[in-house]
This record gives sequence, structure tokens and C-alpha cells, in this order.
Amino acid sequence: MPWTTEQVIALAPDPGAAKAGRELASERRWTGLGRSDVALWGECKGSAATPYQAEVDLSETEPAFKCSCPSRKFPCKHALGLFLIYAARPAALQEAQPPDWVQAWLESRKAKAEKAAAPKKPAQPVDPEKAAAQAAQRAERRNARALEGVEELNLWLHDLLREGLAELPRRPQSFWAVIAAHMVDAQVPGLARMVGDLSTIPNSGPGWPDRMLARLGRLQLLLEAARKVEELERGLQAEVRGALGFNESKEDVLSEGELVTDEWLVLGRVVTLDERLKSQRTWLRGKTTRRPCLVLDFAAGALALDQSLMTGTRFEGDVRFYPGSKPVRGLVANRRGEYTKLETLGGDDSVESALNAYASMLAASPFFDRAPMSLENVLPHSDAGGWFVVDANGVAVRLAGGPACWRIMSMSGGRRMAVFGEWDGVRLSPLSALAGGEFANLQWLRP
Amino acid sequence: MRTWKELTSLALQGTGKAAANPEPERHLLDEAAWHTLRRLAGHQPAKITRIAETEAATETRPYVATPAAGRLEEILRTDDHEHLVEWLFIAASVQKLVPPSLLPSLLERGEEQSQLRAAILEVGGHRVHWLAAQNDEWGFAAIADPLESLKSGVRTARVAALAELRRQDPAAALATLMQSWAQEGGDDRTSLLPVLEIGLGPGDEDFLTKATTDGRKEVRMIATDLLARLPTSALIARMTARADQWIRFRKGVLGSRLEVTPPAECDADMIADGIEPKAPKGTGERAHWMRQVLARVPPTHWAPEYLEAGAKSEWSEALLLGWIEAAARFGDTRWCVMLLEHYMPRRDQGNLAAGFQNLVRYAPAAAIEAAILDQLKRSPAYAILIATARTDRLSPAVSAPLMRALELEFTKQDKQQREQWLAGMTRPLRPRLDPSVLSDAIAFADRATQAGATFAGASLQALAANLEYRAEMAKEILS
Repeated sequence: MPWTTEQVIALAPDPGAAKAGRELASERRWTGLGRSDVALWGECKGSAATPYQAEVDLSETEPAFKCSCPSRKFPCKHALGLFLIYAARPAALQEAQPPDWVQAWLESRKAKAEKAAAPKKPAQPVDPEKAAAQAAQRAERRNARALEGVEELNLWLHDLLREGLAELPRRPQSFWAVIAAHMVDAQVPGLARMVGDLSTIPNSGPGWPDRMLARLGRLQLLLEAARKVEELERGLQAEVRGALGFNESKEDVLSEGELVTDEWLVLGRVVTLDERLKSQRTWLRGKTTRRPCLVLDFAAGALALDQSLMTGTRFEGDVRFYPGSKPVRGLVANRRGEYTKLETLGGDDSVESALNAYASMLAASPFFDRAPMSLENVLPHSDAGGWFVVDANGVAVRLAGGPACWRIMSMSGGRRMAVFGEWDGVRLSPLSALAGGEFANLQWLRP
Repeated sequence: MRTWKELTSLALQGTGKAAANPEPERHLLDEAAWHTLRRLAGHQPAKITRIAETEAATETRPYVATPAAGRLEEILRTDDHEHLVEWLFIAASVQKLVPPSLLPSLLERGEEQSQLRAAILEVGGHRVHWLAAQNDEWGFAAIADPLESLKSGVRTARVAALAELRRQDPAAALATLMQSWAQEGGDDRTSLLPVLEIGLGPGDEDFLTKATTDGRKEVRMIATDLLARLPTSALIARMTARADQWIRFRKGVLGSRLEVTPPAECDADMIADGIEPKAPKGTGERAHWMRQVLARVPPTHWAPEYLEAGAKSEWSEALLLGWIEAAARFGDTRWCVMLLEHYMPRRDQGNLAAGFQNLVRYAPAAAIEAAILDQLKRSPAYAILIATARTDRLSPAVSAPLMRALELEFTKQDKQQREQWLAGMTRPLRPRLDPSVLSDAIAFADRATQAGATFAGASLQALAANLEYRAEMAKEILS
């Protein structure tokens, strides 16, 4: 896959590393620059006597880095510099056989990956029946624990309502942390996350009781569905399990998930930082099928998020969806050909049809918070009531405020344009916009 | 089915205190969920029928290409001020436009840092005026129609509009200002009057002279200050007449000298002309008055011999300070160079330090470059010093000999100190040198490393990396 400077910069752990990497992206600082099908390498002259050996492994979707420098940043400025040279001027790296030090690293990585992939050899020959029985037993244990978690949260929720919500703003953080920790123990991380979200509401300003009760009502709906999960149809079962935090393995999705082939528009991206975990939501939409697809990625600590999907572009390929009744979450299984610039966000021409699409998503499964919304031919507008985008019929949706609104206004120049974002039922958080041939990512991650 | 309002008030007080049907909490939550989903699915969008927004004019100049826009976004995201200044400066000089999505960030920067404003207006095209007109905080850029903005804009917008009008036609701008002058409030007069510095000319004198009798002290001071920048003004003629009374040139066998008799008192006329009667602590009153008067006499009034003779006078400090201020005030290249040429070595004496600092900072760029080239011949160390004190860019014609001087001085430094000395020199020079000296910097770095000065090699590598970054940035913008 060809890499762009922008994608490589996005891998930098912080702005300082990005800037330093930029300054090292010069052939003059390097000797022995080379590349093979799967790797890049080079030696960078620094202030130390021996040059640093930097290498990049491109054999998988997410690149891996190694450098002999003492920096604890990852990737370090040397690896970034090397990668940036490749992105800007691939020919600056000679095609060659990897030198020994690169070869050794690649092999050790490959060996590790194989070891991880290989099934643990059982001491005795496997009895397929017995193995299946064991797996079923494990699944049953997990289900039982999850159900215990659901029951506990249900009780907690009812206690909360019996006591009344009025006291909540004075509750200490531990009030929420304890029950959230129990949900983690019960292996229902989805519920733990929801409790975490709840804890922010009592101090979120006027109107919090309305927001709290709305959330609690929907949580109750989920708990109720979880208790009766056997009675639900299969798709909805999967939605409920997904919301509780049962994770389908990527491998299973890539081999068995619903397959949709289309031209996919990479519409927008949000990155959020939560203590040490970075999460990234990338939204796609099939041009012909109009299927929305949400690709999630997580990275802990200094690790970089997946940069293989470039917003503002489109590609032909296959997407596999996670199980569900009208699933949105998916994975790109296969990409054919190159990325091409987007000329359209493939959105709805009227606010009404966008809202109808949202309502039918809710009808299929009420267990999600944000839906993608893409609008064509809208005008940004601000007045005393806040920021809006307005369609040709004068129908408007409210925008979540912030600097993105001014960027949208600037891009429009008073003319109709396309806006994409996440709709929470009340406000649209804009993620990207297209006007006069300019595509812009509106979410800037300020580290 | 209960209403949402009933549900929330019950939820707040708690079901425990209410009459109980079985599982009251569960019923409450079920109904809340039902209300919530119904509301979400049936969202009633707002109707906005009156949108009176105007369209921005179509741009005629080209936008920068994607790589340049991407780099600007990166620079803005990382708050990289040094490269932001450079990026804007290059783009403005080649008349390219910034993509509209980046304009709000630029306007925010311009609001905080006025030195960026001219470049931002240049790269923002019509769009930046159109956008800024919608946000009071961006008044400095809201001048799509300067006449209209001057009439009805907020104060910052009025100042920007008057500046724009002065750039277009100073006389017409003055006429426009005079129409509303009598009705302007004190704060507006104080904000608008300094703008006349743009395109200042003899045609402004009558108006400024009237303003020296304004009811407000700030206005009077601004007016006097502007008149003191107008070489043909009556105020300057009075200043010159005063100076001529106090300073006489005497030719002698043992060399020329100046006979200096500063005034014994600061009279009412002098005060009316803007002379500050109170001297700062440590400065004699008479010297203080003379310095202020000299600062308002165009240096061309004096023959160059006055400088040499004055420097030997017992009043030399006041004379030099006055001339330094005048040279910077009137942008007199010749006097700037003469002062920097001969009197830089005295920069550490008493009050002269601050004077030279100001001279180096405010002298015209051409004078500074000439002074650097001149000092390179006699005292490279001073040349480097002058160069490091500025914030603007040096031309290739000065950058190249400066690089050579840097190496020469480096080899002359004491072995123990030289690496530290070089690091101290390269850091301020880094953003100022022209990228064309990249290969010289690399060659110097190699020679320093070979000579065992590893640390120096590293700071030069950093200098080279910076030059290379800037060269690449310029290439992106120009392509």
C-alpha cells in the first residue's frame, strides 16, 4: 500500500516527534537506505558515534517499527523520518535484500506471530467432541457470569431510582467506580463503559436529570433484553451481546461476517483519548449499497492507531460486518486498487430522509448511541439559537458547537455544501465536510 | 402512560417515597425508555426559512497545493509559531491562497498576534473578509468593504478598514476620517489616529496640527508623535531650529569638535511640542531634553562629520542616543549604517545599550543588511550580533558571508567555550538565515565533527535540518 506523508505523520506519538521526524526526513542524514517488499531500513547519523539503525516492517496492515536509538517514543523520530522519506520519495530507498540486522528482526517478528497464531498443542490428541464440549462449557460459564453482572446492575439501577436521582451530583467518584469495576469483573465491559458515561452526567449542567433518566431508561432496555436474550431473534441477540461487550474475534468476522462488496467512501474519523487508551472510529459508506460501516480501532499507550483508511478518499473492496440485525460495525477485508479522492460524501439531499434513515436504524436495534449522518446541499447558519445546517427545504439540524462550525462556515462561502458527522438524536457532531473541491477533516486531535 | 415531566420529578425524589405498585422502579425506567426512543425516532427538526447570508466573491488567485495545505495544517495543529510565520510570509509573497477550512485557525492566530495580520489577509483572499465579517472577534479582517466597515463596524474593524483605505489612497482616507472626526468619541479617536502612520505625508499636517489641541491627552500625544515623523512639518522645523541653537560645529587644527550647549530649561513651547520635561532617574535633565529634540530632527540635516565630532563631546551619550532614535524613526539607512559601523563597540556604555538594541530592532532591513556586510569586514563578531538581534529574514547575499564568518569566529574561540558559543549563535540565527546556505552549513558541520567538536556538529546539523525543512516548505508553496 502506498503511504502518504499525512498518514505517516498521524502515526507520530506526539507533535514533537512529528516535527523531529520531518527534520530527519532527508536523505542526507541517512546511509544504507533500502527497501524490500515488506520492509524499509536505513542508518541515521546522530550525535552518537555509531549511527542508529531504524527499520519498518510493512508486512501487515499496521506497520511495525524498530530503532537502535535510546528514545522511548514509539515510533521514534528516526523510524518516522525513514518512513517519511519512503512516503515522499520511495525511489530514495534502494530495492535490495534486507541486510542481516533487518532480516534478523523480520524473522523474529514472523516467528513470534506464528507462535501466537499456532494453536496451543494439547498434550493428548484432540478429541473433537470433547473439545467442543469444553468450548461450550466455557461459553456457558462466561454467559452465566455476564448474566450475574446484568442482574447486579439491574438491582443497582433500581436502588438508584428508589433513592432518587437528586443526590447524584454530590456522590463521590467511587460511587460509580465500584459498580463499574464489578461489571469489568463480570466480563461485561460494555456495561462498565456505560456506567462510566453515566458518571459524567450529574455535573454536565442544566437539564442533567432529563439526560440521566433518558440514559437510564435505555440502559434498562438493554438489561431487560440481556435477561431475555434467548427469546430474541438471532440478529438482535448479536446486537445485545455486542452492547454488553462480548467481542467477536476479528478472525471470525473476516471469515464469516456478512460480506458486502462496493465502492467505499471513507467519510470521517474521530479519535478519543481515555486515560491510556486511544480509540478511533472511522466511518465508511457504500456508494451503491448506501450501507454505513463503522471501523473501530484501539491502541494502548504510545502505540499508533491504524492509519490504513484515509478519510476523504474512496476505494473498491469488500467489507465484512460483525453479526447483528442491521449491523454497522465492520472490517475492511479486502481493498482492490488505489485510493481516489472523494467528489461526494454520498449523503441525503434532505434532512427529512436522513432522519428517516436514523429512525429505521433505531427500529432495527435501539442499542447504539451515535449514527452516521451525511447531508448534501446544506448551508451552515448560526443565530442566537446556535449553529445549524439547513437543507434546501429550510429544514435544519443542530450542530454540536465548537471550532468545527466556523470551519464549515468558512468552507461554504455562503454556498451549499456537504457535511458528514455523528448524530446522537439531538445534535450532529460534524466530522468532515466537502465544499468547492476541498475535503476537510474537522476533528483535530490536540494532543 | 405518565408524561416525561412526571417521570423525571419522580426519578429525582425516588420511588421509595411514592405509593408503590409492584416494581415501581422498573415501570418508571420502561416508560422513560419508551419516551426517549419515541423522541429520538420522531425528532422534529427546526425550520429555518430566513437565511440572509451573502455569498463570498469568487477567488481569482490560485490556492496552494495539497502538500502545502497539509503542512500548514500540521503547523497550526502543533502551534509551531516559527514555521507559521515563515509559511505565511512565503505564501503571501507569491500571492497564493489558503484553503478556506484553515481560515478560522488563522484568524484566531491573527487576533492574538497582530504581526501576522497582513500576511493572513493576503493569503485569505475574499473569503477571509467574508468570514471575519460574521465574527466580532475577527474585526481586524472584516473589511470586505472598507468604507462600509469604517462607518458601521466594531472598533477593531474600523481600525483595519481605515488602514486599508490609507494603503489605497492616503488623501481620500484622511478626507473620509475628517468627515466623522468631530463626532468620534475619545476611545475611537485614540484608536483611529495612529493609523495615519500608514502613508503619512505633508497632506496630513494641518489635520494633525489641529489634533495637537485635542481635549484628550492620548490624542494630543499621538498627533505630536506623527508630526515628528513628518520631515516637512512645522514641528520638525521648530525642533531643528532648537537643535541648531544648541549644537555648533567647530573646525579646529586638532580636529573638529562640537560645541554643545543644551537648554537650561524646558519651556512651555517645548512641552507643547511633545517634549517630556521629567528626566528618568540617573539622566541629567538637560541631556534628556536635548536627546528628545535631536530624536525629532531628520538625520539628513546633519553632515556626517557631526557624528564623529559629537562622539568626542562630553554630551556624547545624549547626542548618540538622539541620533540613534532619529535614524530609526526616519528610517535613514545611511545614518543607521554609520551608527552601527562606528559605535557598536560602545554599545555597552551606560544608556547606549538600550539605544543600540532599539536601533538594531527598528532600523530598516536594508540598513541592517548593509551594516552586517560592513561589520563582516572589520568585526565579524559584531556582524553576527546584529544579525541575531532581529526577527526578520536575511537575504541570500548576507546569509552566505554570515555562515563563513560564523565558522571563522568559531575557530578563533577558546577550545573550552567554542561549542557552547556556537550553539548560542546558531539558535537565534536559525530561523533567519536563507535556506540557500544549506550546503555551507552541512560542510561546516562535517568539518566541525572531523575536528572533534561533536556537539558543535550536532547544533549545526540542527541548523541544516531547519534550513532544509524551510526549503522544502517553500518548494511546496511555490509548486
